[in-house]
Amino acid sequence: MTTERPVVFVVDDDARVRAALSSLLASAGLDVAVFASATAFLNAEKPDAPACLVLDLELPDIHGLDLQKELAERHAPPIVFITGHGDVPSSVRAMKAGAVEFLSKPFGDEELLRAIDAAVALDRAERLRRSERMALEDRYERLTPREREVLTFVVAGFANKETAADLGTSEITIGVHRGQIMRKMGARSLAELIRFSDKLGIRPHDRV
Amino acid sequence: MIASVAGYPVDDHVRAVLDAMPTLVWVADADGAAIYLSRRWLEYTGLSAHDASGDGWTSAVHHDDIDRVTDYWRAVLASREPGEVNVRLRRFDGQYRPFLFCAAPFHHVSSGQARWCVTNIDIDHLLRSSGRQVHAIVDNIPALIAIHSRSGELEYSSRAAQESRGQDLDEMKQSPFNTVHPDDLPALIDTQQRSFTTGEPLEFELRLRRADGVYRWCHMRSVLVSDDYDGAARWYTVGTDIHDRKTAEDALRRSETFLLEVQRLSRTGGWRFDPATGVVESSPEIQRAYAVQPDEDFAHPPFWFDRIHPDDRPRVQALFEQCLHAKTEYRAGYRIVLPDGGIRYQYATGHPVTNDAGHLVEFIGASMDMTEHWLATTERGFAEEALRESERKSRLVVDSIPGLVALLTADGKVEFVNRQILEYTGRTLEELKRWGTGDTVHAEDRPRITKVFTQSIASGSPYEIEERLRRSDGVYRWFQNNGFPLRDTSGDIVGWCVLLTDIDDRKRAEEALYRSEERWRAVFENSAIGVALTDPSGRFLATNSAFQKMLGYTDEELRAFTFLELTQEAYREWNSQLVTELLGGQRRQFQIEKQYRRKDGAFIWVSNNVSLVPGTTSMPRFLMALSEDITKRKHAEATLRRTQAELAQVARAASLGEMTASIAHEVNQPLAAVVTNGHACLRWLSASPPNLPKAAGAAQRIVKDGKDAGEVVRRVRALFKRSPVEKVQLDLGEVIGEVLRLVDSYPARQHVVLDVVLDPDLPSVFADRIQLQQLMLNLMVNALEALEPVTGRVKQLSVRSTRAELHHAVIQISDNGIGLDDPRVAFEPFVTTKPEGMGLGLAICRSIVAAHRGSLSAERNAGFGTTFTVTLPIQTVETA
Repeated sequence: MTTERPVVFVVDDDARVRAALSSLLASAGLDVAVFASATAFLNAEKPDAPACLVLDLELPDIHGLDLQKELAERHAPPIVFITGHGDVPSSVRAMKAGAVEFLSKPFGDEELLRAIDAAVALDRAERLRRSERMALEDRYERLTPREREVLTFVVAGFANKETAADLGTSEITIGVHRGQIMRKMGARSLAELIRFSDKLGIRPHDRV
Repeated sequence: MIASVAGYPVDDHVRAVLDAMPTLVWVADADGAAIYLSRRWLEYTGLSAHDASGDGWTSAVHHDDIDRVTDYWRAVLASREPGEVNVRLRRFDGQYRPFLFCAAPFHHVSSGQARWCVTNIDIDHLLRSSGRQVHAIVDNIPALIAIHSRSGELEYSSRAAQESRGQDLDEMKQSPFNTVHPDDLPALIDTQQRSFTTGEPLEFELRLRRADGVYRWCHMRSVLVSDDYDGAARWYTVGTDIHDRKTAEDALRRSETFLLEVQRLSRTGGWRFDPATGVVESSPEIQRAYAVQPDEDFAHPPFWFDRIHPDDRPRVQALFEQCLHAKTEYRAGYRIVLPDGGIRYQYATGHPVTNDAGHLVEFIGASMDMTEHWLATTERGFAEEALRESERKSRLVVDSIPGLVALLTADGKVEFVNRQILEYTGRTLEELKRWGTGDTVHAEDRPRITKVFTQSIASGSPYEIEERLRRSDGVYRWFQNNGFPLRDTSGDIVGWCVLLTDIDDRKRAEEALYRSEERWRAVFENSAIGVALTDPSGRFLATNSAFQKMLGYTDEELRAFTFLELTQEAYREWNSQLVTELLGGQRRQFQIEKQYRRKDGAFIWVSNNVSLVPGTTSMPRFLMALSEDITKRKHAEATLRRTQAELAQVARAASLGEMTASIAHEVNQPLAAVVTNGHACLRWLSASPPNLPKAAGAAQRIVKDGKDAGEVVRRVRALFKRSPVEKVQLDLGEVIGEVLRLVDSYPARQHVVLDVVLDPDLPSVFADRIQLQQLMLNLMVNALEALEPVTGRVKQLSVRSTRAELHHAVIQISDNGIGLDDPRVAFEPFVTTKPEGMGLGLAICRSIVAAHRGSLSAERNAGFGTTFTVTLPIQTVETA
């Protein structure tokens, strides 16, 4: 995974800029895919690889910041904004919204490449996290409803006895459930189970 | 013995016979003279033959009888017929005894002459007995009979008479007059005396006292009759009780007298006409009235009709004939002309009397003198009659005319209403007579009507008034009430005629019209905007107060002017032309902004909307101007323009800022490309081995992109040549062409189909070149930018220039790009679809257009995109 070749998407309506960036990134040994508009980018099929999006703020069909918002809802690569205007408010907004970098034209190659690297790294991490998460979700799927219920008590630190009393069942049954949970979830320890459950966003049962 | 008498031979045997007869005989010749008298005769009378012959025999006749006998004798002789008569003859001793004198003619053969044989027969005893018989008879007659001697001595009275008087004969003889009423006595004695003397029959009416003391009227008739008893004449008196008759007669006479008197006093006479005989009986009064002359035949109708005035005669005659024929009552008034020429007026009536069979027996009537009355009322009478007749005729007419008519008396009382009034009001004549108090006349109108009416009646002058009258269904309608007096020939008022005409519809229309007029007048007067009406030559006809205030003149003063006279000179020609076109029908109205000179010399700005009001049959056409004082507005506009000019300056500055932003962007792109290409080139060159082709490519791109950047700068610099606003006559086509060239190298211009149609005859506009260029450029750039994102259709930009109406040039820039949501809002300053944009581009365009007195608008196209329309006036004169 870490050795997958990253790809850089470049979206800018100016042909000259596209041509120049293509050349530069190629010279840096990066795979590049250029688009003239946001629509073109959205419609295109993207390879499954860590990626970075170099995005012009002033696009004809949609403003870069709006696209950023939209992309945030999907799994989109991190963004490096480039712009011919470069006003402060936009840059602040862009960064707050999670952009990796905000560069004003003309910009130097180093800044750009550094930003792209960071973005790619981010993307890699994110991808990893995502796949982990997916695995965990698979495992969680396998839990029975009862087991999921018990899970909330377990990760809240309830003793089996307490849990049994609460749920109106026997301690032994709880113990069995616990064992199943640990096995299905692939947790080697309670602490790991707790971590998994956090990652899944499961809420521990309240302590009265 | 008998001698021949005077030559008349007498036969002997005849003589012998005669002498032998015991009767007294004598013979007369044809002339009546005795020619032979018998011995007996002579012996009886004692006369000698000589004395008795011829006429001598008459000496033996009683004195009282002589005349009678001789008359009789002569008559007999003349008739030659036998005859007999009573005669008293004197005996030889002087005593008179009654004889019958019989005469018979015979023919004497020997002489051939006519002879008479007269025999005198003694009838004394006959008479005596007859006298006794008479008495007996008389006694049995229930009448009062008395017999008096010739000289008047009572000899005999009937039993009835005696009984009636309660006297016997002797008593009566004693005092014959004691039963006679004292009042009648003198006259009776008088008359009796005369009668007894003359022997004339006596007729007398007198009152006699009856046995019971009651006086009763008695009719006496005494006749002298020769009594054969002793040859004496006696008075035979018959008395008949006529008391009842008399009183009745008296009463009748009195009533007749009274009637005649009445007739006389009333100048009425009676008449009777018998159709069978054709005879007219007339009373004295009629005769007097008609002045009947003794020689005239007044017993027949022609006389009476002739008396009638010729003018009246035909009518009366015809009427009489008709009544006669139809057996109807007869009534006629007419004038009669008297023989002396006088004219009287008679009024005749007649009543037909028919018998059981229905035949007309008679006509009885009266005729009355009405002259005084007629004279007194003649003219008026005729007039009245005529009036009544004409009234009758009028009434007929009045009922037929389709109007409401009432006839009043001279003092204003309702006398007659025609059928239409009755039908309309649904009231009776009696109810209508009380119109002053009822609800027929509307309560609100009644006081007014009553006042006018009363005045009119008093003054005799006609009146005209409007009032509401109640219809039978309760609805009130307006009527025009005309009253006028009717006068007779002498000018006196005899009545009033009231004519009512339904004017309700007209009234309501009038009211509506009046109210509407009132309203319009109020509108005119109170309008906040000045309204001026002028004749086609421009002279003021009427102005409202708003206009007057604007101009500082009164309405009257204004009427001395035409509006052109008050218009500032610079506008007069244009204004005139517009009016001419208006009057000529080339335009329906026009609007003009111009200046008026006020009375005080100041100038004001007005905006006039002028239209032509077409004429009607009663009104010539005129011009109507709605005039609004826009002086303030003008000042505001001037201020605004100044402000706008300043704003334009600011905008220029601002757009400079905006331009800067877009310049920056325009330049930045190629610059960024240059920098990036530079870096790329260096990297390619420092790769191992160096990638020369790639590096060269980058370097080339650097050159090209660098030029691009320079181009932008150059363009921008051209656009930003600062120069003051300078208006000149510009050829729009030229300006548009320049801008198109500028736009040509705009990147967004790529792939856009340009469609330019410019009107070659478009006149020049008076404008600032730079500003117009800026305007055009802004619009075109907007269009191109709207087209940039377009996919899926051919990008089109069209530019058109045309002339509109007479005085405007129109430029249209249209694209089929992404369009504006709300074209109007786009013009607002600081509205923009572009980020980083200050949103002033279109606002600036608008201010440029305004500075040139034009207009700018934007519209969404039916398909895609927007069309911007610039209108610029073609004007040759600079207006402030």
